[in-house]
Amino acid sequence: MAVNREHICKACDGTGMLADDEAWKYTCSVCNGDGVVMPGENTSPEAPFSVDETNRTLE
Amino acid sequence: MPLNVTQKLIKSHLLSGEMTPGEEIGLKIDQTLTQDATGTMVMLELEAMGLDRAKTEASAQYVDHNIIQEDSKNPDDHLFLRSATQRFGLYYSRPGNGVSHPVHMQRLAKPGKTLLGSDSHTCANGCMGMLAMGAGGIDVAMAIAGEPFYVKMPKVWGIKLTGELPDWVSAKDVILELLRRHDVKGGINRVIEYYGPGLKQLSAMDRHVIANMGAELGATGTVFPSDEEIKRFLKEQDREEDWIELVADEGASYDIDEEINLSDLEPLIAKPSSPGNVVPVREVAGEPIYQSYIGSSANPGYRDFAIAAEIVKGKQIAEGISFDINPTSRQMLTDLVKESHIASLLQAGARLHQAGCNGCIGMGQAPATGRNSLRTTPRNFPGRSGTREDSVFLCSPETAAASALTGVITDPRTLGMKYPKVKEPRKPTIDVTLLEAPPPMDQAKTVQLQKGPNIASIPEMDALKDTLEVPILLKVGDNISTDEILAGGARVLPYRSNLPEISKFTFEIVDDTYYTRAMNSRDQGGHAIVGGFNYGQGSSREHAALAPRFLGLKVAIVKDFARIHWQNLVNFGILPVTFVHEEDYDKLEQGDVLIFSNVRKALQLRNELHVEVKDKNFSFSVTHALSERQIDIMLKGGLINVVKDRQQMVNA
Repeated sequence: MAVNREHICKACDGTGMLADDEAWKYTCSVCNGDGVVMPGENTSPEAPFSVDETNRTLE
Repeated sequence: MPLNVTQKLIKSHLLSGEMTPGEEIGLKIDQTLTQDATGTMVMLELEAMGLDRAKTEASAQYVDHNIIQEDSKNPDDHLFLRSATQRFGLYYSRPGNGVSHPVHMQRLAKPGKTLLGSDSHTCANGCMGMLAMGAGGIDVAMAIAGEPFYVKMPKVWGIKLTGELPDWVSAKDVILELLRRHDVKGGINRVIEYYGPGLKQLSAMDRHVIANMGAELGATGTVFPSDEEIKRFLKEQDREEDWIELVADEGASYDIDEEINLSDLEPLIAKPSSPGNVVPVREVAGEPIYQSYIGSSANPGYRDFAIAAEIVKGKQIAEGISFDINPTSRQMLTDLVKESHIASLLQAGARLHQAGCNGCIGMGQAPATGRNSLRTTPRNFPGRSGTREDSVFLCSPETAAASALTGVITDPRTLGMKYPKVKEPRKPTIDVTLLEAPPPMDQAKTVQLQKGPNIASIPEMDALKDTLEVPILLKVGDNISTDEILAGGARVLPYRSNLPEISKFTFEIVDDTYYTRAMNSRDQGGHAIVGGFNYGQGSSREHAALAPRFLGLKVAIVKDFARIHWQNLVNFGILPVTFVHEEDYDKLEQGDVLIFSNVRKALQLRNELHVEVKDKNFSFSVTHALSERQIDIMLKGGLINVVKDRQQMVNA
């Protein structure tokens, strides 16, 4: 099935993956990893991230 | 008063503050490390600060992350980093020399010193009797410029090690046991200090394994004493003169006490998808695997590979298994070759990769979708391996090697063979050729920074103006993450050294007109952003503050901030304020023009600022949480300007 490029997540470019400053990869928090953001869909993460003192993610 | 090792390290480097847990302290930093993913921006920050030469005793730039060169971006970065290290007086560890943490330990780490690194696992060098901490890029740039590092005084968590590790149980199982007990938040605001009779059995590299994954507990750092074992290690590295003894005083106490009896441990494993999800290997034994992966800074030692080689020697790994060997330093790889361990691994069916971070950070060796991957790496958060729907287990080299042979998760004690004894090479290789020392000052001053087309200097940033008249360019809701402010991904991160380019992605997900509108307002006094609760949560990336600043963001008014992003805003001179009355958030609209008057004096004199909304009969109050030090940073327009001023005074 052809992918509708209009709805591809701009954060991860449809890969579902992001990377942090240290190049650690993790599931895209904007599209929750599915690579697609539909019109009207809330792009904010559903739950707050948890980070430590030096801001390493503690999912 | 008798002191433990952590307290000694802090006391001897304390520049400001009291050693009371929770209080902000300023520490002198002796050494730094940067890696290439974070280092390019650090070098650009040094350039913007006008730094002449690193003020630390030793600073090193490692190229260990972006070592796959599929186009010119990474090699251009390598050239830039090399020229910058020569210009600013840093060591340069060339691609292929290995992962920063073990290479730093082998060549530069010194007991009794402090180390700050722009990498989470910098804490690994705590194995050497150092206070080693991970931090953001600008913090490390500041340390290289001779500025203090500010951190909350941690509680010291003393872990007494007793007993002896049984056969088939190794250092990785010690840290997995601590993660089993306390999960991934158990170490926050703590330094973990190991002591006791059980230490004798742990080599310097075993201690590295344990210290490294202090990051997974969220700890500020991990500290081991500098004892005879560290002396032996340094002697082996031909650096015995760098050794000093550093042990806890007789009668020293800890803020928190705990004991691990090594004799009671068994092979452990962290199930998907958290390093804190730890169970005995026997509980998940029999689960089929796709991949078994040995290496990374979490298990970087000679013995970690040699034990695996001895386990698989003369045998064949199970059909369909990918058995990946990720050497962590060229020096250690050379010894594994000399002692024929690499031959044993290859003959058993292993795949050998170049010395570097590789699959540990999701750059290569991603597992097949949904298939189980066993790794000796430090993290298994969802997606870390590079596969979105990954299923990664963290374990020791013994468990990884045993499972490679059987094709299923295997408790290595059930292999039915005698536990191999690994002998370290009698005369280990010392390889200094790929760690280039900085040139002398007169030579360094002539070095030009080699900037490829994808590297751009950080533009000058102006001081905080006394009157701000700024439109609200964007109004956003709660929980806006740094991924939404500036995403990190294959499309965006390649421009991490190019602020004009990376800024084009700012807020793109929330409002793709923001960049153009911001560029239009940039030279007319800039703009403001209004947000809800927990603004700026998530990744620490400093670009999420730098890029909006580049686009003219002057002030962020929100209900509350995520702490680290708030810190980044301060560092880069964006005024972070919160509503005194949260209901005022609802009264503001995108396009409203806000007027802040007498900002500079108001910031210095009080916490509340008055804001008028132009052409509307409405005003409201905001407050800030800046310390005196941070107010000074804000007034000067950010940390870079603070250091730049100081450099100019010194050079005048």
